[in-house]
Amino acid sequence: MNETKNIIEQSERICRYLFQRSHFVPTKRRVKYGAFLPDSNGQTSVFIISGLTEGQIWDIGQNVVARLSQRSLKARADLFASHAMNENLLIEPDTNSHELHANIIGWPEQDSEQRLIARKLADKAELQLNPS
Amino acid sequence: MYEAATIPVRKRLSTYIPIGEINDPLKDWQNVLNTFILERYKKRADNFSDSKEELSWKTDDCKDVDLRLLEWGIPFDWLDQAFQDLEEIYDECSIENWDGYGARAITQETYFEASKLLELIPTSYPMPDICPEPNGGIGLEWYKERGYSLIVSVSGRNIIIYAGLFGENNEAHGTEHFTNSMPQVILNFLKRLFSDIE
Repeated sequence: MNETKNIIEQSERICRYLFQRSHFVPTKRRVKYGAFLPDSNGQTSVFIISGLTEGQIWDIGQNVVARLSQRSLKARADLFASHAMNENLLIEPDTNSHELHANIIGWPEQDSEQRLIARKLADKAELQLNPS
Repeated sequence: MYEAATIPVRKRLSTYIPIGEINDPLKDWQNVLNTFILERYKKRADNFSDSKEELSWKTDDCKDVDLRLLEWGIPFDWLDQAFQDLEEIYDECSIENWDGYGARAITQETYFEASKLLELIPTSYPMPDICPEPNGGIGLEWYKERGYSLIVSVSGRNIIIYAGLFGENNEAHGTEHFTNSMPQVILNFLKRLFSDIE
């Protein structure tokens, strides 16, 4: 479970930790597209959560991601790696900060197409609210 | 007591939802709307509960009402609420790294441009979600259901970026110059998304 993942398979479950309240709709259990848009480096930071318990997933969010970003963890958006791969995106392991960390890369250059894909990923994502 | 004609629909509606119903996010909102809101609204009751009974009703939930009101042919004005949401997002996201992933701060130019965009949207359409973007942009999104949505975003550069999903294999995206009027293509997409309402 804790070994470094060198190859991301389509069946892997990944999550995006959410720190911004306006990136999801709690009452509708819906994720907004802004949650998946890439950063200025063209990457969307995610974690591989296949095989982890809920407690372990939130523990990474609280004690790794939230601590690094110095933000309060609000929720997370789960999806399968295949959802990103089906949009011609890649998921590249980036284990410098954590062994399960990865980035969604390969975003198209056009801003409008990025939004379209981010919307599709958000459509597929399952929102989980931070229980604490 | 409120003067019905001068109070936004959102405020009027919020006074009628029992606290027990609204505190549980898993409740069936359609039933809540049907049972407690629309029937009373349709009757145009002129007695309103006092402020201590008024509930803090989240904007996201209001959009359900917006859509339902449109289906019922009841006009309303969501602009005040949208400006309030926009201002809150600007306050939260006008600093660097507001999303915890190194997002760029939303600038005043972007805020003003988003305000202008909001003003140009016909309020006969539902109120859009307002979504901050990591590049410092602000997006307006009409989310109808999975696979049906329209995103229109600005970032203070006189350019509108749009992306729309209109069902299986129906999608569009691109950019439009933006000055003082809403590009016709955006209005057409809105019409397309909400064709069942009109």
